[in-house]
Amino acid sequence: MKALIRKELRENLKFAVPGFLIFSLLLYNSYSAAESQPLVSPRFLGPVELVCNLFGLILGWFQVYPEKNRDLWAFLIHRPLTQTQIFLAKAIAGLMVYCIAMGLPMLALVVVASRPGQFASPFEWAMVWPVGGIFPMGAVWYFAGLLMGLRQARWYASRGLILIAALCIYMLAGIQPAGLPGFWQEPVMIIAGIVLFAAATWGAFQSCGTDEGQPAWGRRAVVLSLTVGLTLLGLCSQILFEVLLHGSLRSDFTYFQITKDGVICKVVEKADGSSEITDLSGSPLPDPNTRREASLADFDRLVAPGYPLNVDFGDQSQVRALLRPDTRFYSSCKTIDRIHWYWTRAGNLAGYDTSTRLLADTIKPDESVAADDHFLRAQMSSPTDPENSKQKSSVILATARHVWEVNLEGRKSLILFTAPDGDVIGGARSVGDLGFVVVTRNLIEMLDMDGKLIWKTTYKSSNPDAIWVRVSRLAGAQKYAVWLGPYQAANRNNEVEDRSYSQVLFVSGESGLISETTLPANKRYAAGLSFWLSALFVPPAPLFYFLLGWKGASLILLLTKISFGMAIVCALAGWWLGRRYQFSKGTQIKWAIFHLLAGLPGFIAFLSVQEWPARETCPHCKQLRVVNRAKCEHCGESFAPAQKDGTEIFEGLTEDCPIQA
Amino acid sequence: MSAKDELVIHTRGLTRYFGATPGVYELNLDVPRGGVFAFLGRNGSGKSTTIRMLLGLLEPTRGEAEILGCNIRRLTPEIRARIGYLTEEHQVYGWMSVRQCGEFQSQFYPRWNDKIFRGVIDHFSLKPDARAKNLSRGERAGLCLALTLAPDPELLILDDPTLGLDPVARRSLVESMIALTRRADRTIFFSTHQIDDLERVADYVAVLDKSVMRACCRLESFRENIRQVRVQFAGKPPELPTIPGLLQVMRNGTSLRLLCVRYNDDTEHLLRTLKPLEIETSPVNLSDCLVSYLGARGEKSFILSEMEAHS
Repeated sequence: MKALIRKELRENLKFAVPGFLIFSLLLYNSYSAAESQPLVSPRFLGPVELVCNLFGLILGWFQVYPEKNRDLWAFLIHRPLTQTQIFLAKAIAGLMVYCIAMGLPMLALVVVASRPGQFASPFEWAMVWPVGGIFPMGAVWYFAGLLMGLRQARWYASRGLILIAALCIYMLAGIQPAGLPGFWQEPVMIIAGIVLFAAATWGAFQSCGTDEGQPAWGRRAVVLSLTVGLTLLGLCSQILFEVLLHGSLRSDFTYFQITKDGVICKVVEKADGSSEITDLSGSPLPDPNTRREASLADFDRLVAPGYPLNVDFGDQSQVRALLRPDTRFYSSCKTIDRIHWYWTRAGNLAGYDTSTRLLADTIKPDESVAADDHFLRAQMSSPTDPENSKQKSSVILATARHVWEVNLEGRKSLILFTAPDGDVIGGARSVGDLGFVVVTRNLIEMLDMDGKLIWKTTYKSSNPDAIWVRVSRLAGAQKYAVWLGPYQAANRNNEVEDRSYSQVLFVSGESGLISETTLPANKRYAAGLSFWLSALFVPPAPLFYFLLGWKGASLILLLTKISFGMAIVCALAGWWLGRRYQFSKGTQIKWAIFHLLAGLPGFIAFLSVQEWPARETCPHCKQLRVVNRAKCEHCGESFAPAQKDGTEIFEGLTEDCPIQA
Repeated sequence: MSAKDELVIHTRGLTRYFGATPGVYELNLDVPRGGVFAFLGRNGSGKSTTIRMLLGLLEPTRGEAEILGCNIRRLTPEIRARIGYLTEEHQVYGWMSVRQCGEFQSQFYPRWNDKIFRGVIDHFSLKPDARAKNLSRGERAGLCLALTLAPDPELLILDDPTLGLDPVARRSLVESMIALTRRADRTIFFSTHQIDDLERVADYVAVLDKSVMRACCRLESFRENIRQVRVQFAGKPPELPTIPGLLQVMRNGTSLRLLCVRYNDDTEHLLRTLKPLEIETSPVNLSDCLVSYLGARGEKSFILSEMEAHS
């Protein structure tokens, strides 16, 4: 086996060298252009991911496809090794080449990035995680490439589907569905992908790339791979149906806004590019200058400036779930006197000298007041906020009990607000230069920068863990609208109605809460024909999972019913085919269960990998019988020997050996 | 030792379909230990398919087969080590030199005999440092033969080894095969449609015709079973009745030349009904035997049919 590994290494190092050079160049380019930590920068991770996956795929494909020439393959296979050993030798060598080409440059970058003075931003070893996820994902693509090169199938069918299956696994590793913590999602999917494709490749090795003669586990892995690919293809079919039926992919987008005059408006941006702006009674909003219906551009000028705030009363996990890799670790605050300040997830502010790129200082909450306390995530002014451009040397940060004004020049923190006993702060942020808003479990308060109360109001949270809050500054002295909404975790349970914001409180500095308005629910998704058609392609199994996790999910329930109905049809068709081609009862039952779980994608995968032998008329009973059975399934007769033409010459070649019949 | 142990290849009802078309149909083949077994047939008759099934490179549609006593669906590395296989295209890794090819292969075979390897390499005048991709077809065939013979296999399976080789290279390959057969207990099973060298090499012959085996016997028996019959008529030869075992018929003026399998009294009696002037039988050389056997089967050869159609 060592000789085979050496041979594979020798053959495939030609890919490692250009791969290594291209990847090193890419990393060097990202390194020299990066102002903050590249290891968690989406600008860096995107190209790295693309190169790793592409290299893995190309390497896998080239490692096996050129050798698939019939006689060269026989030269490889016919040697005193098991097919498993040959597969292992190829896989070990391939992964070694992958590690050399992609792993070494990546390792070098991690070592460089971990050294102080390289980037003027925080570093912690956990930042290696995103890269640590990208690197093994390349192995998933590598095995997919091997399998794709090895399979004796049509490129546009079950061979190409492997590519789509790999894409599906790649996407699943990145998406975080309900209930699965992001940390586990990626390694679980990567390991599942590697195991799936490696098992399918191992199976294909046993049968020289054909489906017939594969070991059971190999065949199961191929079926599953194809089902995964077909599922993604089925889901994409909705896009196709959408385009075919509506000529466009866009759908209406509805949201609420408030004007500076305090009029809540419903804005519908339609698929055809037009828009509809009405007040809550349904009357079109007139432009105050022209008195005509306001266009979207006109309306933008009327909208009150808003200050959104993500409020999390727990461990901040719900806020974290929304963030990109880089902002999970730190948020950029401000640059003051060549020191760039970051909020770090340790709960302090870290300042980095932009010229030396070294840590200059750290600011923590005053330990004499709040020992072991830490700042909640910094929530800076939104980019649309005109006050954002003003250079201020202080930032507003909250801990669980206090709101602090942190002076970045003097590097001191000053308490501006303390929550009442028994209450806890979920978030705080500045509202331009007018002051700051703080949200506790029971109260929403706005204070000026001296800590003097501007207004406060009680509220009833629609979600105990986390809420959306947005403060809109209205025209007139100290008049504000406070938008409240359940957080994503609560909102996502309703797939039909969108309630990002469900309530608006009108407050003023003089009288506190003036009035409140409950917002109607927006229709999030209108299920049309394309939705119902694509539902036929979705396997019921993942829908069962979603159905268990989601409450009151009528659309999902309907989707599951359609999908399961299709699955029953597939199971019946599979059963009929099984009878026709003489499957054993056990095999028929296993396939039927699979079809009930995997629906139409599973059925198509079944058709792709199953042996469909020719059928011939039995000369004895005159019924059609499959040619891969020794005896007729109807009458039990063996196959007739070839018809003789009188020119046969047969002779027993050894003693006692019967002369040919 | 039982009769089955004496067989290196044993198949029963071995069948392979490609779609609805049988590539090999109900093959019952017994290859005895020792000697050279020639596996003949025209292009597409199923020779390579049979060999690929025997080596576990292609899954049979039905039927059973054993090679060196091992089921072909479960060939172990130990069994593979005892079988040498030479493919028709003589494929090796092009980037390897002749020496590297030998070194590479030697690491898999415990019984690797470097003397044999060097001997065959010298016989084909191959330079050890020459890259395999730069070798001529004949030289590459020599290299492949060296790689196949050096592990000292009990059973050597050659799939049309002389295909595309010039006469000199073909002669070299055949000589090497003859040298191997001098060793006791060694068996060569080779497929070919080159019949020129068969007489010098083969002990047994099996013939596949359109995926069905039509003959399997000793070479002498094969030759003895086919007879040439010259039937002289007074005028234009009449239409022939259905004659069992008739392979070929050629007309030459007022006489017919027939090639028949198992010519006997019944056949002669049938011919006598045509009232010929004379019937004369004679043996046929092997080459003619094989050509007629591999050619179009029936009462007349396709050449004659065409000539008659034009006349």
